[in-house]
Amino acid sequence: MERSESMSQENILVVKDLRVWHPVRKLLSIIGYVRAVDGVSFNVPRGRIVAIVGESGCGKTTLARAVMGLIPATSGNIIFEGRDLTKLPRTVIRKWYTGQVGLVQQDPYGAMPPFMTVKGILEEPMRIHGVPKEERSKRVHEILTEVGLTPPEDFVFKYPHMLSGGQLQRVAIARALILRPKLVIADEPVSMLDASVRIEILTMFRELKEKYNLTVMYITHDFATAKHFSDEIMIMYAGQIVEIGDARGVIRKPKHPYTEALISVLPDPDPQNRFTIKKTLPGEPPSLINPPPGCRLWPRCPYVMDKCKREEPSLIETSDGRKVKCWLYA
Amino acid sequence: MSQRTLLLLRRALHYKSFILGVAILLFFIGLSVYAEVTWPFEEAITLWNNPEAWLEYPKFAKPEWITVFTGKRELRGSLILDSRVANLTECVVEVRENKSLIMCKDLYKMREIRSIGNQQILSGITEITFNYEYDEFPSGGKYEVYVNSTEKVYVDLVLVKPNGLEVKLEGGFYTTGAILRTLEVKPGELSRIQLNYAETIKKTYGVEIDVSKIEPVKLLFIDDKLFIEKNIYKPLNGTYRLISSIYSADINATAEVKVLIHGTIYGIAGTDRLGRDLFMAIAWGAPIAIAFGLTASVLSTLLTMILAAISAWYGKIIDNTMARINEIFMIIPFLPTIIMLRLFYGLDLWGMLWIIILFSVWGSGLKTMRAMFLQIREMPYIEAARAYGASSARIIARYMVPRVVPVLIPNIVTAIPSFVFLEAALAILGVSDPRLITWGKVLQDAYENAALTQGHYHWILGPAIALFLMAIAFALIGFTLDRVFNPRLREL
Amino acid sequence: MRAVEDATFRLREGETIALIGESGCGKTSLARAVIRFLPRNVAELSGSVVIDGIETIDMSDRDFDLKIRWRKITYVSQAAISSLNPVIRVIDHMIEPLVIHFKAPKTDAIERAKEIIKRVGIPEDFLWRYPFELSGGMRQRVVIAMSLITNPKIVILDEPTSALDVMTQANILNMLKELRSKMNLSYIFITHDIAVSSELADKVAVMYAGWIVELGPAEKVYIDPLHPYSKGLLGSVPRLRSDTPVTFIPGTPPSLINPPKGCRFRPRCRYAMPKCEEIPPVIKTGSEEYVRCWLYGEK
Repeated sequence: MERSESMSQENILVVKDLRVWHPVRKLLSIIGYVRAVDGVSFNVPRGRIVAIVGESGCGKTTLARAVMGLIPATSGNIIFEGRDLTKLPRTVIRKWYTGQVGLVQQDPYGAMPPFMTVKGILEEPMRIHGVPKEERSKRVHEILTEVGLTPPEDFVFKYPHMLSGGQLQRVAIARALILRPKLVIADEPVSMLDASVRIEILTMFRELKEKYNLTVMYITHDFATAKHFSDEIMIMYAGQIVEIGDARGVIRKPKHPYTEALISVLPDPDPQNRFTIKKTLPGEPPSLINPPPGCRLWPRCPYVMDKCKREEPSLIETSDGRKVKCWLYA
Repeated sequence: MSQRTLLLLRRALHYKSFILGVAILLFFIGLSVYAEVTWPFEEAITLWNNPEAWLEYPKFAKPEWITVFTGKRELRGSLILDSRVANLTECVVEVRENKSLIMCKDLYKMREIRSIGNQQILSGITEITFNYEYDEFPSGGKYEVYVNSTEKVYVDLVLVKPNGLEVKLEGGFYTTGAILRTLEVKPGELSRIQLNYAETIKKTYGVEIDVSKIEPVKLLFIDDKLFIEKNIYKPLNGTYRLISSIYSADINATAEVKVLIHGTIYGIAGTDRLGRDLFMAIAWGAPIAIAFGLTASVLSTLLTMILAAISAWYGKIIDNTMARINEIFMIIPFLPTIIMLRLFYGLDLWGMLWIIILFSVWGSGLKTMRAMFLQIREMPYIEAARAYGASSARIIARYMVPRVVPVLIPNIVTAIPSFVFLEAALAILGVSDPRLITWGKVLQDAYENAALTQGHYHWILGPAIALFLMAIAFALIGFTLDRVFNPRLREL
Repeated sequence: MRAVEDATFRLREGETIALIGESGCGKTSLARAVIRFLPRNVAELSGSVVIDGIETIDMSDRDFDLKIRWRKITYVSQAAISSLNPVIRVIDHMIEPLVIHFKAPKTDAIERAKEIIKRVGIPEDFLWRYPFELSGGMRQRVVIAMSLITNPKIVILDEPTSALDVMTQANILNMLKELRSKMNLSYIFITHDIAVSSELADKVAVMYAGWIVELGPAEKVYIDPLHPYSKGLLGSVPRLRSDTPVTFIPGTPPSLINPPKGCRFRPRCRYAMPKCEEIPPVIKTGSEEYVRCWLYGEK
């Protein structure tokens, strides 16, 4: 086991060849698998914000849940600070790992139990992990101030339906941070909020990350916020990671054909847009059940070669530190 | 959470239906308290199951307040004429403990001495007078003669009606012992009193009449003139004299006569075929119904909830197995099963309760609740809870159950009358606790004794109205709670 | 609740106006008021709505239904994709407006449907399929085709692409651009995604708390907005292709039941002046530019 790579201060999380396959059953027999995540490998450096970007159905949500330990991996390794989650018993994951990782979900209203007050919601993780009573109260007040819900006294006894989406999402972030985790996974944390609120929340999130030396995995379909908010971007397509690189670089000079097409299609507010017809990729993403051999993109790729139809490319590292899953860079 | 509950309960008070329901419920609770205070539980049961305790009560008596509507005057309870405390000249009607008692002062003594042959025969006469001012005939009656003597005693009992007609009740020799005679008669038989009456009429009016169709007690109180001339049955009002004479050679012979004349009305709810006060049955039926209904409803709902939560959360094998058990119980017919169990094993109320709960828990409620829990399981906050390390037990208890409770509470309340009715229905079918007094048992008794065809409506109406009111009370409370706890679901 | 107050704009033939603003600003209410898709409990609907030269504000509901809706103006709603009846075939969905509104014979309607479905880029045989057999993008195309089948002049597009993937969204927008020029359509385009709005907008109306606070040509509003709110709104859009830092507007939009006195943006505006306690009038700042802000008025 490459303990050195993962034990070093550099990478808090190392994912190796992770696969999450869901069996498709007809009556009692299995006729195939939905390959939601199909051979994903990456490192997450400590203290960085890594964005996982992709369209719906690409597998990013499943990947996030697997890293959280909420769904079991079919094969591969998820190594967190040197410990392989796939080999740990469930009780250890529940008792230890959940205190190390925090989750922020997309839907602010759905993520909060409607019958609990803000205080109750924030205290739950602490109760489960045995934080003593006085400490709990103290932390609740602290964290509420930190996420901008001041004065805390105004919020502790409110119920979720009394707060706005933006406020609730702050509570969600507070809840994710209350156990002082090392890694936070944010799954589309701002997609359901208004445009102006998004930036506010993400900025606050970034400040908290600096303060607590967190590592963040930011799952989204929105490139623009990914660029402004994260250090590194990973693009996912059809259950695989097709490009990894620093945020600005990937967007300014995308290397993978899919990334290129995606970025070219996303608009900035520009009055000239209405005069241009955008170039898009034909067709649709492939089925995740028993996909065809070769590169997942080849039926839609403008640069397709013969090799692409036969062999699946690996993640190739280019000279400037970018990793691209494409034969063009072999 | 409890703060919120109080708020919601206060909102419920805005609904008139809720207040009405609570009022009726409080009435029943008051009734229960009264029952326990007046007839403590064990005492009530023994009393109810002991026919001898009710001998002095009229049978099939209607509730007293019915005279408000009919305007008739009717005898309440029973007239008890007891010569043991007889007075020769003065008798007083005293009402003691809901019984009309005619008390006569001075002891019955031997008064006259006569000689017959070479034996000295002593005789004594007692007279009891009473007034009968009622528009209805008595419903029945009986008399007892206790003779205590070393020799034979001749007892002669005569009733003198206000119009002077004398009807002989008794005339014969008796030795020490008790003589029991009833003033009612079995159909097809003729009693001595009826024959005596016919004879008297023949002597006085010279008319032959058919007495076979009229009960002895009626003949004793009937207006003879109206009867003979116009064939009208009407009781004769006025002062009646009951004259008892005994003849004996023994100077110390005593004979005591006790006459019981049953009236036609009694109490708040009337009486049944044994003369039992139905109000006691109705009063005691209330706490039993509430206790049974509440226990059955709460227990079955709680158990269903726990099973549904486990089934929905753990899924796969556990879920599948429970679903199959559920389906099996949904198919097994409940009524025949419980009747069979009662027949083979004999069931008291507790046994019945457990079987009913068993079938309720594994019934269709389980499927619906499981569906509710499945829906809750998919909520993001459940996933969040797993993400911060909540155990399955914690999630079920603290995150899933509280979501379901506001739906459950109104269900529990509205289900109570179903269980109460179920117990009553089972009782009518014969499946009930043999000792306890329940409304169902009263109805069963009434049904088996053809109460409706015999015209004893009060016997059925009493428990029926009680059941009806209790059902309404819980239904009103339950529906209001439903609107208060689940506003979005119910307000159209 | 004052959903929309004092909104004024003009739309030429073939022109597209985008209504942008955050949720609750009134953009959907405004569009629905134009086509009279209002809830039953509307307290007041007043002003002037002239469609193709015809004043419609005083028309009875029945008249509006017969003469204006579907003939002159149609509406593609937000939940359009999920509002297709799953047990009705696509063809039946499409011919419904023609058959019901125009009393057209079925065969003619079917011919027209075939024509339109090709224009939105769906093969003809899909007409006989059921909605669940189509992908999200295709369903959206069907809904847009339905709105075009009666040959209207104006189409109201209310968040037509929010539920779609980026790639599909681009395809739909491409299609809308083509149709616009081919059929000489005017669009009223409502969206909360400001970047996407620039894909179609000739004119932009920025809405806030029921007001149109700024109205101007796309070239002006996107590049150099005038109203403080527009500035803030455009500033909060993260740019892909440039590194301009992103800003945000502190505070929250006001209640529409009890709006603040004077300018509704005053509590959050960093340029607020005492004069802002009076409701600012609409001030013309250019040939087709209007701002509702005292900063541009006479001092």
